[in-house]
Amino acid sequence: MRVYLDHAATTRVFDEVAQEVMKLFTQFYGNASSTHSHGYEARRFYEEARTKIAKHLNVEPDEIYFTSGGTESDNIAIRGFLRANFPNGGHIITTQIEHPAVLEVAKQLEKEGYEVTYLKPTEEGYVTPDDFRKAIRKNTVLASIMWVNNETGVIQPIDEISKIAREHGIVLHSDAVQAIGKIRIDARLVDMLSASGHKFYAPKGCGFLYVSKGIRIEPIMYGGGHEKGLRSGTENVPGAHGMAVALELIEKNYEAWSERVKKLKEKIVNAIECIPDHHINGSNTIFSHINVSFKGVHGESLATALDMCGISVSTASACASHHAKGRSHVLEAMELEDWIVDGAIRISLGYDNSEEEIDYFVEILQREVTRLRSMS
Amino acid sequence: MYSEKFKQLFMYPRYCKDIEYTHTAEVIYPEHGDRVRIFLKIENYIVKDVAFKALGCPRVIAASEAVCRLVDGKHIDDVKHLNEEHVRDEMDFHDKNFTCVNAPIEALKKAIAKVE
Repeated sequence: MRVYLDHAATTRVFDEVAQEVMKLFTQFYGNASSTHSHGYEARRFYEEARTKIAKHLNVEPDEIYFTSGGTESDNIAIRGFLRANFPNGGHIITTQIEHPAVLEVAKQLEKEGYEVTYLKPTEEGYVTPDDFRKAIRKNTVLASIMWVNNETGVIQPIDEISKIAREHGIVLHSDAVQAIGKIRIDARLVDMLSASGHKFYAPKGCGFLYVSKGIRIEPIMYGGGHEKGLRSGTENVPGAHGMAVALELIEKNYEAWSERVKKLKEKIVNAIECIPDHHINGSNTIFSHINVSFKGVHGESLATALDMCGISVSTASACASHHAKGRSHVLEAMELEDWIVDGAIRISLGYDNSEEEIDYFVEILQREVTRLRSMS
Repeated sequence: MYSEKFKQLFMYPRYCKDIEYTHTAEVIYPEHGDRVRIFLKIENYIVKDVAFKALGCPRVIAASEAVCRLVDGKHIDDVKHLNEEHVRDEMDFHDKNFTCVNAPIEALKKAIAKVE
């Protein structure tokens, strides 16, 4: 049996989405910027997608900009905002647990003269509104705080941080790549928000950025002036349409699907509870994520053993000196013990997992933890 | 990513067992979270039995099993000549970026250094 439990990495495109996207590849393939009927019909799909996505986020359609995914959205939001408003420097607040798409941008900005504060999470994996407030300086111009952490699944206190940012007139961006399609969010809490289609059952290579009206932002790359000049490049109509269809499907089935995933997670957590000496990493986690470590078992070995039994999970840590990834910067920031950092695996469920798959997974998990422990 | 040969070593090790040993040594790579101990039962300069315990990445476990398979029954002089290439061939794993396969080799060398 093959079981996919790495939905935080990417998801399988819904069949309905794939069929819809195929229609755009083969029937409505016009360039959305062309001024003929082929172009107009493609444009109609594109703008309808924008409207549907805006509705999902509780924002206006002209506040949605299509991009190639999360990394591009994060870069445009952060760099584009600074370039337009504070080209000569300023203070930025972010967290130690951001995705590299934000962290690496922040590091680059430091080299360019900006000051950056990286908020430290608690050992439960979230940053506190109090720490956010304390980090604010007179010259703080931007904050970028992720909505849900990709490794632990911990939901960050965006609503409280939003209030504080508003009190101080600080523009707030959020990388919501792991939140969209999983939890209901009100994008109005932030000024800019990044999302990636392939994390919510749409194709890879598409995403969007929400930018609240009134926020001035400049492009970071130049070309034909698409997306009101913010993101040049031929419109990815199939991608935009695929994202809209995927979000519609999730919205329509959300209660039933999310309840089912919650029960599957409960089943896994109950099975983990039967294994002694484990540590579940993070609290207040999203219903689809479990990040767990087992004492006496290396995370990469457990993930590999599961893979050899047909089960795909992920591990954040790999041999430090030989691998680009190294140890998990998220778990290290949480100051967890070494065995927890080295032992962690991430199990991320999706709407398409079955109970039968989870039964198989927990059986193999218990067996492989026991086997690997006996070797140490 | 890994070959069938590697999978056999990692998933079905024969030498992860308890033995009555005469020599043993441990090597730790703290930065990787890897720890390997090799146990040897040596009689008249012959490896009569060998075993390992390992906590670490898949490559460390597979390399430990490979080392044991390569030295079981061998004369100590032959064991001394065991090197990384032999182990990588036995594992069918040749990515030189991963140096962690050396951990069990180092443990073996430490253990046989005590043989008089």
